[in-house]
Amino acid sequence: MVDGNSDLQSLICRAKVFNPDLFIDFPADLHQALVEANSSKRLLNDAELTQFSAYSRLPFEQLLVLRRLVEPCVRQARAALASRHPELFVAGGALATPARAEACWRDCENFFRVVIYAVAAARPRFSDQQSIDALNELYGLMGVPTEGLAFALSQLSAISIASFEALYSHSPVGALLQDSFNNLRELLFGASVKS
Amino acid sequence: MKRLLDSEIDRLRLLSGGERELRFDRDGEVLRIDLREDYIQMWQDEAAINDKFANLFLACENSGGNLEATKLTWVVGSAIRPESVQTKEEFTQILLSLGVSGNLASLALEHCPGLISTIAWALYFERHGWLTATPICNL
Repeated sequence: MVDGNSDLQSLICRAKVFNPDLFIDFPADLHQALVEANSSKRLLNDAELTQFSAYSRLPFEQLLVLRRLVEPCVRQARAALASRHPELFVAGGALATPARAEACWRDCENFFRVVIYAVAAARPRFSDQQSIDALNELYGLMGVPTEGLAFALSQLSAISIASFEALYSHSPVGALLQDSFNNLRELLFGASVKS
Repeated sequence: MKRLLDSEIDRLRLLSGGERELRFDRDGEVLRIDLREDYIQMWQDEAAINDKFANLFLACENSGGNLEATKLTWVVGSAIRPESVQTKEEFTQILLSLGVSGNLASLALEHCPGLISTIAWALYFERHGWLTATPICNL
């Protein structure tokens, strides 16, 4: 049941995996770009990445490469999870039905999208515990299997960091990528984060 | 306080067994009816606060503007819009404009007892495209 202080709509408003308010000190055009991209649930476009690259002093080319990694990394993470944790996909497992697994990977794509916002902005803490607690409460109400999500996100995090570092070792973009995923996993799953 | 007392809903509860969930499939599209008690309670709380006269609660992409200008979506990140619909034709037309297929709108009319007439229902899309419906309360 929704907690006594709020209705469903208020819980939905508080449940944010990406909190644009944490970027309010950014130049107005960059803040607006984050708000707009996030509300449209889309990746930053080339023009926006150029702006963030200049502001954050990060190589534009590396941000472009990172954006291109989303689809192949999600695909690899799916395959790796199926091979390393087959128990998740059999009856009783957190991702046992194709529909559950598909929904879980869509969540992971969304998480990767906001991680890229954080990297481009060079601010790896892109949500706060209150927003994530509300998200977890909403996930509970919606019956989202967060155990499967924890495994999937962990796999996606490891694969994307390894893929990026294979191309650019010791890059600040790679370090931001790692910090952003770590922060997200810690906020979402706390001490129960599994690798 | 909102109540959900209906013999047809009781029948669905019996059919759904322990999972409290029913699925209806047509041409690869799925209507899911979620009958979990805590979930129904959540929507009852929402209905009590936000609109005492609506017979539909729709999880939409946008809270403002015309209903025709938005799409039905997943609850997380959505704006819950209370709406009042009078006829099956109007229901179908609204769902089509929200991006729901005619197939799914038709499944909802067939399998959601009291829809439009005697029971308020919540509707949203699952992330993988299923239309999910939950009965909320008697009108």
